[in-house]
Amino acid sequence: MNGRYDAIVIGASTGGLAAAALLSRAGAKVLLLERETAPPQWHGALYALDPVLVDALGLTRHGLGFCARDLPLVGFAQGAEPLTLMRSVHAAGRALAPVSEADARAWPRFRRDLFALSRRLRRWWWHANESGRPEDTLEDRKARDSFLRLAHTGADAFLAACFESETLRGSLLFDAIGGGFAPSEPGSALALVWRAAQEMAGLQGASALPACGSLVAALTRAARSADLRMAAPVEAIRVRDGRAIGVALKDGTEIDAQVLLSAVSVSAMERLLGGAAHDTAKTGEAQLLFTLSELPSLPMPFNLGRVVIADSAGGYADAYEEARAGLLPGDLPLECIVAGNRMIVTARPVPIVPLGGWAALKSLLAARIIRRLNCVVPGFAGAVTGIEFRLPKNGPRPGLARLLAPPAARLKNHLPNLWRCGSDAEPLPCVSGRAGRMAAALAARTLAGRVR
Amino acid sequence: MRSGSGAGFRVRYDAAIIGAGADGLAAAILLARANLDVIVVERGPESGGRCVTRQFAPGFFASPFADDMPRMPPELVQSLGVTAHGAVLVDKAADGRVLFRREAVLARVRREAQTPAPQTVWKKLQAHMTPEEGEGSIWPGSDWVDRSIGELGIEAGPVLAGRALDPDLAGSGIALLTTARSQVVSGGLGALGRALAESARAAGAEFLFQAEANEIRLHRRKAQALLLADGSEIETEIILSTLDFKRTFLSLFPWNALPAPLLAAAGAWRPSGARARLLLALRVPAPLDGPIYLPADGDALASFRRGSVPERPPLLADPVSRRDPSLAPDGASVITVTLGAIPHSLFDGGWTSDRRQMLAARTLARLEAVVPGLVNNLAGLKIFVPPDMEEVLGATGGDLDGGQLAPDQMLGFRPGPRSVVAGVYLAGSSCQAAPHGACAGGAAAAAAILADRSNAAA
Repeated sequence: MNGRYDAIVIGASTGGLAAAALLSRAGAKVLLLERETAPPQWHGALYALDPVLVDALGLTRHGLGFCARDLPLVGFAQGAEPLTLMRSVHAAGRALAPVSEADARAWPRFRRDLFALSRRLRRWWWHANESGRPEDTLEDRKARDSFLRLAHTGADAFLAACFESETLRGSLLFDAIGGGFAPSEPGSALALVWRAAQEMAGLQGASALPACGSLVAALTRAARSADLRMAAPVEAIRVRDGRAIGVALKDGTEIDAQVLLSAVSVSAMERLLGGAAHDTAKTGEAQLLFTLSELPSLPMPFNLGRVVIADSAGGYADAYEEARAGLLPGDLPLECIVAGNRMIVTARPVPIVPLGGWAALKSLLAARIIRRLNCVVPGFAGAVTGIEFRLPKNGPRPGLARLLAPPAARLKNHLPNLWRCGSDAEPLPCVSGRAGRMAAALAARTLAGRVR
Repeated sequence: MRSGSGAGFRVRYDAAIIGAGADGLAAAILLARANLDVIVVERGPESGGRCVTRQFAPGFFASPFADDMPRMPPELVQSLGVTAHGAVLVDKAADGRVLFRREAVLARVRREAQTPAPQTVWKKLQAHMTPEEGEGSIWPGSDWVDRSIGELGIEAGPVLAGRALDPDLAGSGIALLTTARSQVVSGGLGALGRALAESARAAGAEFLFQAEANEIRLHRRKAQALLLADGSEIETEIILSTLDFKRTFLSLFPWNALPAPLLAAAGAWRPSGARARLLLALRVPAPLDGPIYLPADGDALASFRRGSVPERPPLLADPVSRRDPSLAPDGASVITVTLGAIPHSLFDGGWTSDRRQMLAARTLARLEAVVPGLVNNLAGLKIFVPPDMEEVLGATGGDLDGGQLAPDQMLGFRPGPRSVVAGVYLAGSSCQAAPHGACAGGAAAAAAILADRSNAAA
């Protein structure tokens, strides 16, 4: 039980499982510690899953499957026709034409510019040896100018300058604030570029819906040569002479290792190190899983893609303000995805620590969402048989500094043999596994050096 | 014929300046001193723009739109001769670090104006962001865009009064460059306006009042003439607009005369007029020793965005007659109140007199709670809301800053002094130097005009 390990990974999230799998494949003796009795499940669409990781771990062989790929984005606003944006620019342009001719003309250009910039920035986000400032890696002047403009612009202002359709702006804004940005925060326009970079990765197209549980199951299977220990909460990371030497579990056990990887949030990691809490985010997203007895007759776009229900771009600013003040916004933008007899609803922005606490607010949140959906999908309220909540988690405040930090800076901290590999080590929080892969590579390099 | 009597005349000048505000006057002085024939075209009946002081109740004076202005760079004070013509500028307590940074920005804008090579956004921005050696910068490197006013821990009152800024939003810190403490003028801002106008007259600039500029006529993509509303024409190859970016390019040109990217940029430019002013005449000495700031409540910004008048907007009350007793009769006083987060367009109609009165009453009630006895001693009152600023000053959306003070509309992202149209220059509140120093935009534009002329001659 107290045997020495080469590496300990704290937290069995996507990043943690990926790091454990890759390190044990590289021949290290790895222990993965998870607080809960099972790895946390991911519900909802994947847009950022690292294709290199999927390939390296053979996740599809281990059972990763998709119900749907290339989910189109569907914008829904009260009193307006739903707007279905297929991945093909021409199809999207045709859908936009009846809403606004100017937007139909602007769309291909918008996509092209976004993707051109994201192609240039991908290296910056995904290669561990980049350093300095991102604009210095952009050689051509036009790209640099447009990068800087986006890095200073709020997503709402950027989208308002591009499009006139409220429905279109409202649905795109949902993606832009996914990382926890305020809609008018300078630099949030760059979140759209980051999102485009994820979508370009190739594996999952625009967004893909994994078969229920298949991602975590495949990752767990890929990591089976590592020592997986569930229900083992970590009490502290032990540090001696400026190096992490192991962990202490809640039950008093002490385990040594040469390197440590943390897939838990930054604030949780700081707590494990005995430090103070970080500047934490005030708003996040909540996810509700509705189990439906029978499928109510869904309007067509629901069966087709991910539906964003937002009345206007201006509504986001109000919702953000309410959420920041600790209130549940009255008019919450929602994203709905139908998978079999379940509907996954993501609501953002919601307060992370609401006034009165989530215990009291959970039912209000559910009631509001059901009422809203019942307007769009008649009979929805009657069909709900179960609700599962995923409440927003405490995390660091997202910001431009993190989105533009050199990759290594996101993975490292002040201890030389401790890396971050969770969602917080990504430029914006997401389910990707990329941080796990990059941290595993750094850890493997340290281990190899030590053996030598 | 050079005087402005009679309609339909036609004259020739070396340069025409639209607007006789501080920037226009500064440019007029500098260009006229360089021996250019300069005409200043002003829509209103007098010069000064926002630099005016008016009687708003018998015996009581105040500057209607603002009490102070961004600090004028010392060398401009010298070269424009404002002190010689009777204006006394007084520095308000300043945060040295911000001031230092601001001077560096202004120096860069001036230097750039004198080199005619067009620069990219990136170059311009980099020049502003890289601190000079040994410079005490509160925004090291480029991370200012991430800092908020709240995080910088700087007193937000003066910045937020008269604006609709979110102090918690990352990047709001950049607004400090513009606003953190400024200069006041003895005798009100009007003294500065008068001094500038006299200095311009002395330098040989000519004025045309109550003349509205209507259109800039181009010939082969170069400025050729300025057409006035009364049908007159001023032939000139150099036109300097002190209107804001949006108004200049969306209202002064025939619809098909400008390149599409410029029109798109002007269309996307965001004014954010949020300032209302309340001028109070009191029969008694000011019950305040100095300015007081009453913060907004949490809903003020949301109300502003929705187009409704906030219950408790941010408010700065300044007993201006304490600094400058000439503004009020003996034993009486003037208090000006600057309100922020006041929408330009209300969601349910216009700014009727009822609504103005309601805003004034609400503000007085709030002040009365802090300064008892205010209402009983009121001898007069005047209120200005954003549409008034737009009407009188021509500021789009009533925004005296010439555009929202967001990071994507500051420093290198601000336009000017040159534009893509040859011969058309920009010096209004929207241009790069304007938020950092009074008259600095006009001076930068004049420098650009002179540099381009000497380049063309060479």
